[in-house]
Amino acid sequence: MLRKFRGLYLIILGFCILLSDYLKAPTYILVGITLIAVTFNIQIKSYWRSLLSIIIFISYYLIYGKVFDPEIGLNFLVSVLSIKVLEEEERRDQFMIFYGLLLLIGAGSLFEKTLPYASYTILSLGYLISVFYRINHSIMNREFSLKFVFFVIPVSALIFLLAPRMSELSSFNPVKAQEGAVVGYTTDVRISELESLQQSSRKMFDAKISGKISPNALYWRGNILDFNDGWNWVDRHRVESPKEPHSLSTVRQEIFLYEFHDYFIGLDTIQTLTTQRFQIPLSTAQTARQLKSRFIARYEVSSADFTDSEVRSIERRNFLSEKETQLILKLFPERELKTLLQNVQQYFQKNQFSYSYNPGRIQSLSLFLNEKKIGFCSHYASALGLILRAHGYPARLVSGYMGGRYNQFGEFYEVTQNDAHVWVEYYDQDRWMRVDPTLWIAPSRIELGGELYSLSLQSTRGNLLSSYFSKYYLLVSDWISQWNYDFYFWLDSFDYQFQLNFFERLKLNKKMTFPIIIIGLVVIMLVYYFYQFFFSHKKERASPYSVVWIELNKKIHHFGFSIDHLTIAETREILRSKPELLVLFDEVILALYGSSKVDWKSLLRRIKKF
Amino acid sequence: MMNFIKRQMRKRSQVYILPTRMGGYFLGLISVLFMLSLFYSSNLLLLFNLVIFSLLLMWLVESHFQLKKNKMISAQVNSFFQDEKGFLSLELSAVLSEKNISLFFDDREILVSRDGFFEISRRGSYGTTHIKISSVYFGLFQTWIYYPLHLSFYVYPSRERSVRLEWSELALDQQIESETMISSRSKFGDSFDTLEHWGGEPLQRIKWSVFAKSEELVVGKSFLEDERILAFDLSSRSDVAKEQLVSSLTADIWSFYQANHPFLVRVNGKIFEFKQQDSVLFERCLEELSVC
Repeated sequence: MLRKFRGLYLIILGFCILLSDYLKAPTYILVGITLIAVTFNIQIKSYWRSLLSIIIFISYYLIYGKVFDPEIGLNFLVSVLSIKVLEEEERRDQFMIFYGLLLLIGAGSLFEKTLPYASYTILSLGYLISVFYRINHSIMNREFSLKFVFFVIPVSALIFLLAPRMSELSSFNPVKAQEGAVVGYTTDVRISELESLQQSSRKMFDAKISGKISPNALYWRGNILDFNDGWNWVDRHRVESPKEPHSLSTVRQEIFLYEFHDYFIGLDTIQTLTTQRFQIPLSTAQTARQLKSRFIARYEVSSADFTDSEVRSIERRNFLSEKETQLILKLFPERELKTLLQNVQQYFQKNQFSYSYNPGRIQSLSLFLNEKKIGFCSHYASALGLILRAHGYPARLVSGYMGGRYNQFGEFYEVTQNDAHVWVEYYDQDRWMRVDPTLWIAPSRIELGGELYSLSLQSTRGNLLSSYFSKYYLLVSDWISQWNYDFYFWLDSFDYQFQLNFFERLKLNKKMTFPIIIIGLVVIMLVYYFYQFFFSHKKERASPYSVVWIELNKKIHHFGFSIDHLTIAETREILRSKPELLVLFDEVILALYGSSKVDWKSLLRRIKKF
Repeated sequence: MMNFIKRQMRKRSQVYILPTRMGGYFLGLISVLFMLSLFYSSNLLLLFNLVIFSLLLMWLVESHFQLKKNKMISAQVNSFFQDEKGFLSLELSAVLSEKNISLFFDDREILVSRDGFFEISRRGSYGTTHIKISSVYFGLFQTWIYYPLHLSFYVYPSRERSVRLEWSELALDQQIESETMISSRSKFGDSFDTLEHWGGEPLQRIKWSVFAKSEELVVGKSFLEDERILAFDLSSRSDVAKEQLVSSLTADIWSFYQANHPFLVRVNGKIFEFKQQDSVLFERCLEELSVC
């Protein structure tokens, strides 16, 4: 029974702790039920287990609203494994649980890229292998350790280092201009759908920046939420030819993404994107999209304080309802851009608009502007965007991140989900200009960044413990994060470019990769076979009398006698011509069939010496 | 075609390996993890996958060696009755996990159970050609190897009394004319109390005191009380099915032998006379009955 292997539950528990950001309440409930059942040896009937599985699956659908999703898959896998360990275990069940846990640990590494998780992977794998040996009635002895060190690790390392990495194909997929696209309210963000913002310290990416940058300027550009990306702005009037862009300063960043984003992220405004094989200039008129199948986690960005002007033309269309247009024009009648922006700012500030992560349901712009007067970045950005569009100014929402905590140990910025932000860009003459209405409502959010702002909210809520220990917690967290960064940077360095450099250093042709792997594997296998053949074979099963009998037979054959299929008497008849051998033979027969105790070792010695 | 392949495999003493169902699932798991690591470009997952793959390779090699280095120390099958199971006494040099053994008689394969027993339903003389030893290492790989093995044994008729046989009564000293008379051993002319020990004879019957003095292996005779001997000729009954006749005769002589009652049977033109218990002669008698 696998229940006796309590460590298996620790593996599931450890997984739940490390990936708490991705697991939902039903999963935790089920794991809790399983643990209680195992601890107190409670038997759960099979129909209850099936019912639990169905309930869990339905709950995931209700939470996520869909069935096929990596996070759902992860939750479901944890749930299934928790239930599986309660089953009566045949050998097949034991194997399935073993495989399931391997799959779980492997899948978790896609979500959690931290050093603690890497350590958890190593420890869990070691324990699983020991359990696997025990359920197969074997033990992990010193021999296994030697084989692991001298075979498993070299083979893994050889293939890992030399297996050809896929050369980077073009991942850039700018959104194509769509004919007849509607300018207006983006479908990505709807005011009425966002009731609360989930706060999470889940790390999104790390960034090393060259040069100094003001905390207020930490706007990390991501996705342009206007789905036509500004390409479909068609104006009746011809737009003047764009002027040459001018640069104030360039800031280079090394970005390391911890989670897949379907767009590249960099400091606003991204000028050039450099990956291991490509260097591509970007314009602010497009979102640089990533494809999941060719996800690039590490890249360099060069940003400058300017925007280009790749907008082809602009079209203004009616997109707001008459009622909403009238409301906006009534509240903000001035059309001049700077005055308009000032009016909006004053309106928000004088009417005591507030910033909250949980504003509740706000179904329309008028409700927001007249009654609720509360929201977070998306509400304010959407409202400002609509106000600008109502007055005929091209405006779009940009989502990304704002802020980031500086890690003093590793000298990089850590950006978490709490730093997620949305702001507005409007097109003025030849440039897209950034304006962030959150700065008018909650300037501390911009000054501190999202993560620290969130922490400060916790301390103002009276969480004394949190505020007291937060300083030390952040210090320890920074120290661990530095190791995380270094480890994953090192691990992720084994890419296509690394192999190219490696082969160049050894002055080898990259086409030699496969032959080297094969030769290396052959060499390792030969060494392993040599070890197996000469040093590792078990003789202990042969009984002492069998060993003695085999030796005696060898001796008899050595002297030219063949006693196969002969009786004892016939054998004695044959051996009469060799009396000494006959004596030995009789001794062995007596030892085999007699009742007195025999010294097998001395008998064996005498036979060998004969 | 399959028979041809199997025959070719038996000619070579090499180890064959195939993954079991669980081994197939393991390979599937490795493939899934590998695809995930490629799809999501995760080096940690790739490394994890490679370690598991290397472990699998290691177990594959160990599976191979578990059988490759295995030697057959001894193998023996004693003759047995049709209503019994045969027993294969097999000693191997290596520990094998989940061992399965099969005996081959030309193309016919008979599976031997874990405790060494096997069944043969027909009486007769049998000779093995090969033995197949298979092992499942860690539940992942099934390995098997063929060894040439020449063992001869008899399957005696079953001891099932389905027909009543009419035995003739003869005097103990009555002369019987026959072209072949198989009788007890009487090599030691003066010593009517002992007989030479023949192979297969129970060792408990050996007179060790005699051995100590004369270095001769001898067994004691058992003397009969009755002066009458029962006789039966197998060819005398043609009205009964052969198998029933043979089985009934076997049952009868078995009980006579156990009761130490003198008897005489004629089988295949040979006469077996039992004036005293003679295990070797009895064995030969049973062998003749097996092949008649």
